[in-house]
Amino acid sequence: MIKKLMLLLMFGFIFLYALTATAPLADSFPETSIGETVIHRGYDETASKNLVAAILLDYRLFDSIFEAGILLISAAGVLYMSRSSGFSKPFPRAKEAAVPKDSDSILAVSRILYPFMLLFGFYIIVFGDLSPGGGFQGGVILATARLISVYIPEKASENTDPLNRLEKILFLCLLSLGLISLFTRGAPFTNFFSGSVDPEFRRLFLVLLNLLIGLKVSSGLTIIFIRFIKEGK
Amino acid sequence: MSYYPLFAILIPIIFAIVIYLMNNPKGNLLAFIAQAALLVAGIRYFPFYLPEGEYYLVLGAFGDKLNITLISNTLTYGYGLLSVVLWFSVILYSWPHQKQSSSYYFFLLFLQGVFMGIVHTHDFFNRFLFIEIATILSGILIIYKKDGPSLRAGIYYIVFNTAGILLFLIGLSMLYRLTGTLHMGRVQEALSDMDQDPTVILIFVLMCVSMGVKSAFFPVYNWLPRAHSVATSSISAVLSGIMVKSGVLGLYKIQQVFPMEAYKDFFIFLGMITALCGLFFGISQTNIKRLLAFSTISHIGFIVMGLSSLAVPTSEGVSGAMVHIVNHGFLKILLFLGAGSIVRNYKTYDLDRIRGVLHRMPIVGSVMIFGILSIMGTPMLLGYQGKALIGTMLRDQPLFYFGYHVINLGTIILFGRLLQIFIPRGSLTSLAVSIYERLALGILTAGIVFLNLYQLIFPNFGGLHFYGKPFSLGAWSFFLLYLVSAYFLIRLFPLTSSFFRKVRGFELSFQAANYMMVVFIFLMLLWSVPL
Amino acid sequence: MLQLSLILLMIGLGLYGLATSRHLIKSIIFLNVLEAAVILFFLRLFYLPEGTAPIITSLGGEAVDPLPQALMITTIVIGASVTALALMMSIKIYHQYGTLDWKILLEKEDNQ
Repeated sequence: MIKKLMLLLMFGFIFLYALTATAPLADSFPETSIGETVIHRGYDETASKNLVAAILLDYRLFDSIFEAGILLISAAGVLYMSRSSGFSKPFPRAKEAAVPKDSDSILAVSRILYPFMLLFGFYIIVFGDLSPGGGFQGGVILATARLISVYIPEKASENTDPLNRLEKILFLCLLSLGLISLFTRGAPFTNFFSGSVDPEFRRLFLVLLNLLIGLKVSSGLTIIFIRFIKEGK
Repeated sequence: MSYYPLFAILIPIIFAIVIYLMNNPKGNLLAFIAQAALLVAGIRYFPFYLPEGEYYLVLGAFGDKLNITLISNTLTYGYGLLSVVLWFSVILYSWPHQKQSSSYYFFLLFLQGVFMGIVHTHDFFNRFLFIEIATILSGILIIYKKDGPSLRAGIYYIVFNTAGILLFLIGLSMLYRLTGTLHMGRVQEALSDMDQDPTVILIFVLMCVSMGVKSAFFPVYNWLPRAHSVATSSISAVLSGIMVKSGVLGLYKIQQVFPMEAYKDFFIFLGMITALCGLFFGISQTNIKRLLAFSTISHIGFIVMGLSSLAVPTSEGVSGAMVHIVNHGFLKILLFLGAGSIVRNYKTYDLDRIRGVLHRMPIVGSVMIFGILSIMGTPMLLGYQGKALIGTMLRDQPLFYFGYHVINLGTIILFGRLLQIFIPRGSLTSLAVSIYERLALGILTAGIVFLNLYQLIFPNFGGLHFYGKPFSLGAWSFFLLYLVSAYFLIRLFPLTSSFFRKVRGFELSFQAANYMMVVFIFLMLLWSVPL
Repeated sequence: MLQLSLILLMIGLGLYGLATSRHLIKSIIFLNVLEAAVILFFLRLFYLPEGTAPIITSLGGEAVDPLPQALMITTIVIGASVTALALMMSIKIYHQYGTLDWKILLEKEDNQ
């Protein structure tokens, strides 16, 4: 009890300190910031109308590639852990609760929703540089669509190896796509078209990147989902 | 412009993924080719880094205002080359046991690339990202054995370190709001005129605490002995020798950006307590790997003491810390790999049951003795230079200088306890050590001897000057004094007493570790409040 | 000010939960609370009352800073990855020990 009280007291002090420290931040913006410069020059430099995508896919592409890399490692780690050999299992299951059979309405709704979710996911990915969205968001939608297809018996496949390979290959493609500009423009991790090309052409790079990221993220998340479903069985 | 940082980051990662894709024992040989490729890239850039200087590599076409920047200088180049030696010997060492499993080499090589990223990055968010990837990779590698204790240590590590690194993100958000940039050099410029602002202090405190969690400072150290004692020996070696330093390097960068003179004494104090705590718990251990893990904590404390002088630019402490980072890395990897061979052959972790190592495993034994003598701080051997420089820095402050000698004495007692495994007793039949392990230990020893001679003959590298006067009478007389008093202290206080047994079993629970993280933030904030 | 203090309280809640909850899954949930609070805090710092989304076609008034949004996507992905790994580890721990209580897990370690 005293321990918790002490904790709360410390929190009180840290809270007050943080409040006084963040209060001056509320009104004064710095004179120049990365974000402001991006708002002014973003479209001319990256040909992306969505400026968040401009940062993700051009200015800080190196970060985005490693962000995709985190998911890759996580999928590989989940896959490694859930392989049946290795761990001993003295306590296989909490309680033998009766697993209810999936109802027919879920099946029917999943069947109707599945193609639309795929379409929506691809829409979000391909139009990521024009409207809110992008590879990561669209990839998650695609993975959710794959998750819903678990309810559809004839679609359900539990083999994650091809997906796993696909994910790693896509990551390599992503890396090499980012490096092409080193040879065409002399600067790594940016658009491979130079700034003088028509923006409609330069968009190609963004769409390609979004597609690669979207597919990679969706396959990574799908691996994780399928492995978790398998653990539950 | 030098593309070396890019090579150092991307070569291991690409090879890692190719190994994972091939997924067969022959493909695992690519791990060696990756190290060869890194070495070739390093040699190719040797003339470039020969003159001292800082080189910036902008990853993008729009200048360092908007894009991510990597920094490289002679020092980071040295880290790149040394990482090749370390990873090569670890891969070679683990080859007979892991040559079937591609995922092991995937994670290990990816970790190398990410570590090179941590060394080279000059951008706050990029650093956060790389440290987080390193945390996830280390977590997976800790549970690589797939048994119960390693699972518990793994989840403790991954959840606690992620919570710690989120504090860094809070600091980062305020920093960007304050300065409008994430480039470390630009942030430093923008902050140069707002020294004692509470916002800046809060950012500094949050970032330091998260780095402290990452590199096991005093109140938040408990994940380290847990994780490093249960992992496979080769993994423990990499984590304990190298990955712990990623937090320390982060602290170094943060202290460069925020010149907080007020925290100079705090960091000396913190480093001293960390070192004493590591020694206190380490001396009472009977598990050989836990003993080595606690000794890592004490050396981290040493390095933090050295880095504290950054706020007031005296180069001795910083040079000592940077040199000790490398030296301790080499020695700790050597000791962990040697301990791994011993544990595998004796089938026990218990220090009291391992006897006659020198007679039964002559090569491992002699290499271990060399490593132990070096890490004890024997003058003229590798572990000495860094310690001596940090001692020179502390000479003006009597209290801290006294503490410094106590820490040196403690280190000698700790490794003196490790020396008991060489007493020839019991069966003395020789034990088999595979050729790969002997070769790996040989390469590491060669690296250590090379570094040792280099540091004795040319005591400067990449802008650092590290001459610790290893030939002086004072150094030797202090060392002899330590040895004599360590001998009497071991005789006076045997470890069988119930007090030490209690200390040995002391563990912080997960909740307590998080509690301590809050206490750490609280104490650091309290330090800034004027009396 | 009110929003900011609520978000700071939420950060405190995450840390408090990590420092007190004995159940492993709860720890992971509180880690997610902490992470969500950090994301909110970051976005709140750059909130403009009349701001518009940083997309060129809709730039009417003053656009909000696009950088925090880009960084927060990265943070969300990191959070998802860590959560997935931690949950998989806790499944394995449960299979091994039959409990997810930190305290009991620690005691088991002592017995071994």
